[in-house]
Amino acid sequence: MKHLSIKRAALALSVAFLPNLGLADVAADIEHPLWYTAPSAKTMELAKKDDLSNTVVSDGQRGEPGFPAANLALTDEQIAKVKAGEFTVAISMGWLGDDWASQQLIGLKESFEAMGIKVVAETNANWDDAKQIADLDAISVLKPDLLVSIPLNGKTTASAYKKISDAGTKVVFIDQAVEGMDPGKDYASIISSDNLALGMYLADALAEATGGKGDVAAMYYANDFYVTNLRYEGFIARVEAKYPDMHVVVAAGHNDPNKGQEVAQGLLARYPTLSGVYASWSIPAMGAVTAATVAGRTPADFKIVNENFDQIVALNMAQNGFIAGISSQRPYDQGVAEAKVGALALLGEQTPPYVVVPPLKVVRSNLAESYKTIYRVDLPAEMAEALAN
Amino acid sequence: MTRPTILEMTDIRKSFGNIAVLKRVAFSLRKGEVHALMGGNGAGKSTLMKILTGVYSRDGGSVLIDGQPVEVHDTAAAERAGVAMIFQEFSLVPTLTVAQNIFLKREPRFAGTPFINGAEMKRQARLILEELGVDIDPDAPVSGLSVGYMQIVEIAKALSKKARILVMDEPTSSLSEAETEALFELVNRLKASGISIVYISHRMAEILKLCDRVTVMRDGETVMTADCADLSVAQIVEAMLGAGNATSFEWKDRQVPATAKPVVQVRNLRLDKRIDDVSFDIKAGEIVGLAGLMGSGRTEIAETIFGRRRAVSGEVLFDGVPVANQADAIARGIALVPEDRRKFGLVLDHSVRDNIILPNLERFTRHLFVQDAVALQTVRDTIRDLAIKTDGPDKLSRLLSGGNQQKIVIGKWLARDPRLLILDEPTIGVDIGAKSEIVETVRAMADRGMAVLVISSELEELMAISDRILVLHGGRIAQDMNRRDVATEEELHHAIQGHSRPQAALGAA
Amino acid sequence: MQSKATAAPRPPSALPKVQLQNYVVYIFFAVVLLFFSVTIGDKGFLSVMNLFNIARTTAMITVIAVAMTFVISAGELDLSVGSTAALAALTCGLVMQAGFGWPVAVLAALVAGLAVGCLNGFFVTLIGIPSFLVTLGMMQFIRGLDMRVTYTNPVSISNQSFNSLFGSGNLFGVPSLLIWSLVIAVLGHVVLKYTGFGREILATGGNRMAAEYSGVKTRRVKFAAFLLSGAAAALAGMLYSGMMQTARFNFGEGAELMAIAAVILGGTSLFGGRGTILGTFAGSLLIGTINNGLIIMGLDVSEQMMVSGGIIILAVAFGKKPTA
Repeated sequence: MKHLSIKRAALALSVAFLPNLGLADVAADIEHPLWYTAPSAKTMELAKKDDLSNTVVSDGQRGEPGFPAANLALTDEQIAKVKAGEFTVAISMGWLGDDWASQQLIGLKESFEAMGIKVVAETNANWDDAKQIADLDAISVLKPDLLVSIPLNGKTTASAYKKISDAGTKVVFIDQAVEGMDPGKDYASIISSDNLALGMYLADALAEATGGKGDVAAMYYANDFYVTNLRYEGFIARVEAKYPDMHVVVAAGHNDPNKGQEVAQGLLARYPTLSGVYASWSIPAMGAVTAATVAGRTPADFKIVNENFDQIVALNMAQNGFIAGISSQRPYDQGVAEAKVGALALLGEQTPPYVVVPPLKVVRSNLAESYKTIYRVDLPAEMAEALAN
Repeated sequence: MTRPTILEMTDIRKSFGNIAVLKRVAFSLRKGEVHALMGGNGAGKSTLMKILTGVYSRDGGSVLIDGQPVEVHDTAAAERAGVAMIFQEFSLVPTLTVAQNIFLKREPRFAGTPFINGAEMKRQARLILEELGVDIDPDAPVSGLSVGYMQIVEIAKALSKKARILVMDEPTSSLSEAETEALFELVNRLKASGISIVYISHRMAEILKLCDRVTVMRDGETVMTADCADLSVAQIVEAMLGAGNATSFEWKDRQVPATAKPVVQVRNLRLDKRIDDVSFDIKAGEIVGLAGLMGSGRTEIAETIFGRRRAVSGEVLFDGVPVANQADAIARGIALVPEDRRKFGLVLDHSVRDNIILPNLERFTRHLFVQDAVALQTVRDTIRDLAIKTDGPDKLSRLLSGGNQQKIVIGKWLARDPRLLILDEPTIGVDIGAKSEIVETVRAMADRGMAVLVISSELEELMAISDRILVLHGGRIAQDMNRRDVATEEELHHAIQGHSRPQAALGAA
Repeated sequence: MQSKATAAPRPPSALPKVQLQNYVVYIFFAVVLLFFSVTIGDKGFLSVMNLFNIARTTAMITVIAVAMTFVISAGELDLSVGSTAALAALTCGLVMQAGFGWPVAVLAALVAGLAVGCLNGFFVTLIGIPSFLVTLGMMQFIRGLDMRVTYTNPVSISNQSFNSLFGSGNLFGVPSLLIWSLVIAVLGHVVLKYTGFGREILATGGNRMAAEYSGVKTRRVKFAAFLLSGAAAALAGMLYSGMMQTARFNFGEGAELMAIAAVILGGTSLFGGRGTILGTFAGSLLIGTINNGLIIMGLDVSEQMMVSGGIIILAVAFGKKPTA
């Protein structure tokens, strides 16, 4: 890693001053993101499987094997016990306002209500870990029986969680745990999406749309962010393992979703024959849509896949636009899984340390059905109409 | 009694590009002497002093201090040689205290530590200030001091660096009467203690009063060095301007037509502070001088006429109709040349052209667009009429001398052909040559029927230009005298200080 | 000591150098263009499509920067433009969603932009709060408002006449975004350089008191500058939404700083009194070209940021007028 970063620094300096030092054309060996590590042998092995629907690809950060959320179950007897317990729960979210957070919250609250667990506090740290610590301190005063929370920072918030756990509150983590807390002892479980699988589904969707052939590009979120790193890794692993005729010829980063268009424009200018792009989130994906339109490409010869199932990309897909595939998390199901694990923990049951919610692959043919699965409402009229054409 | 020479500058040469600014200049300074350095702008006196203080390096010649050759390549070297400059624009940090400023970057430390010994610093500052015979609290922030006191802090700072030669550049230009007196006392005390002072000023009267010798420079050469005792103002002016050019600063008895109507009538004006009850008229073609102490409210009266201030009571009538606001004043032909031209008069970073166009914008604007070609003709006329020395209309006004900057401010208003021109301290920092040109211009304008109000602290100037002099004292016009009835500056000086002249007719219109 | 030296007559030999510095942004632009043409000219950089790409992505910054030149020349700063652009975009999108035609939506968006400009102008000129603080607060307030009205959800815009006019379309093969930025730049240039209002802006920024004493109504002038800025931000917001066929609360994030950089790169004084729209236009294109070229070169985001930041500092350093 070290020699690599020196090389990069030298490159950055030299391009500023030396003419004629463009990059050599990259074919097989593309420049990966700075944080990139090659997929493990296990990941590569799983990436070869044709059907991933019953496979958990991602392990936890400590190597805990993932437990499929679908296999979690409470018996009627257990549910009755929970109801009788008159338990209380606090929910500490890292942010609110996007579909992921709100669907998750709905899943949590509906499940808790069904089990007679009372939500006594609900906080929003708004991406600020200092605020989250303050929120947790406030929650600790309430002494809830259960805490469900997504830590914004695994280090800074650790002691606040530890304090709550030490006071006897059961803790269920969303996506990641904090340092110095152990599963089974300090917390019940981590519930996360299967992010590697999510990336692999995107590779599948792109291969299906392009016929598994041609040059494609990958746009990634440049910041070192655990879940997006895994998705990129999954995408790369899957393409390598399963689609030998589809080549990732370039990977380009953005540190601001709004710059998606600029990046996609650059890619299309330099590689005019690209047949598709993996565009990370929906906002950069829509930027890529604009860039492709401007570049005179058509949905027939250029495909975009992305990893947020929201209204704009769904509409584009329904309209037979560039968006050919979406790999979605299942936030509602994740919320339900968190509530189930929480209930089991309250009863003193041992829960699996790492519970994984599989992603959902959305293509035009299953759009209506997928929309219903994720949002639990029918497709909006505008999309339904477009889909019918 | 001839004192030993402390500074000897000989054959000093300096060129910028191929323009020789100093041509073999000689200047000598004796121990314990106050030596005036005079000359018009561009004569080379500030370049000479910048060589002495290490801002510029000389192209040739020698500098001897105490008979030893010294090389002052930078300001630090000058400091070590015992030379300090007291700047016109003070180089103090307003947010720091007096003591902190005096010892800036040389603060006394607790022995062996990097920590500043505040008490020791204060003690030393107090000592120096006591030596200077002034009562300034070392703990007071500089921002709260009057201009006069700031200058004293500057001097204290120089003395704390063991300076033996002080260069004072226009030290009285922004001081009040009392502060000026105090400064003279201080200069005399410094002189007595053996400090030598180079005194740069345009004010003849104070030079003859304060200095031992005077050196006059013109066009990069020393044209005269003489004992002040042997000199008259006329001789100095002649040396500065060259023979035969020194006539216009003398008073001429102009005849204001008796039929002239008052252009402006100030009636029982009362302002928030200082001004109680002021009434006067100015007729077309008349030049009226307004005398009074610093801070007596002269500027406030001017700004009220110009519509920038509201009167508490009383009124200003222009052609018999009250002035509503500044826009109204300008539209009806009132012009104000403000006291601080750098702050209020000019956009320094803009060209001569843009500055002259500014108050005339609406005149040169047709259908939203500025008619630059038309405007340029006016700008050229103004530059020619006022003899503004500039490379061209597009030169930045910042790069012009004080006198030429003042001519721009006057010129931009004259381009509007105003009916009343108010000049507030028009010649501060203006050299004698430009000064007389300004006086000439004002007279010419008055001859064409313009009414003029001149505010000045320089009695010499008021005496030279005015047809009538109003003396403001205690918030009222204490005296209203015809210039021809005033024999000497002393008479006027007494009036300003509040002594009434027995023969003066109070409130005569 | 510095200020004393400034007042001294400058040696004549310094004059040609000063003039070269006025053109530093154009020189840098030419050098950067040449550099990319040599290194990546054959990799698509020089294609007409890519050059139009640059023009398209810089259009919003150009529009904002043109008005910003007025604000900065008048001695003020407007940090609220980015969030105002989003506000206008959302206003536009929501009005169209409510069933109104695009002209009504455009009008509503302009009104939103002018309203923000009006508030900024009010607090700066009538209450007397420094514009940095007023517009910093306004930037946050408006961004919050943007989030609040849409719950951070995007508003899709399906009116194709709007989309084509404000971003996606072409006129005689020239992207409408390029046309918009050219029109605004030319308009701005003419107003700043040749009208009485332009002169009043420069005089106000050069020395507010002197301008006052010369009869310029400096408050009114500054107020007008903020109104212009608000209107330009609104137009930029519509261009964003026309291009993306969507309005989103986070449009224009960071646009204020990009615009200020373009203005300063162009040779406008950050302290007011001196401003040039042509320079601003070149500054905006310079930034856009650097960003585009570095992406095509294949640099990592971190490297792109280092290089473009370095170039900006160099350009400003070379353009600096000597102070002594």
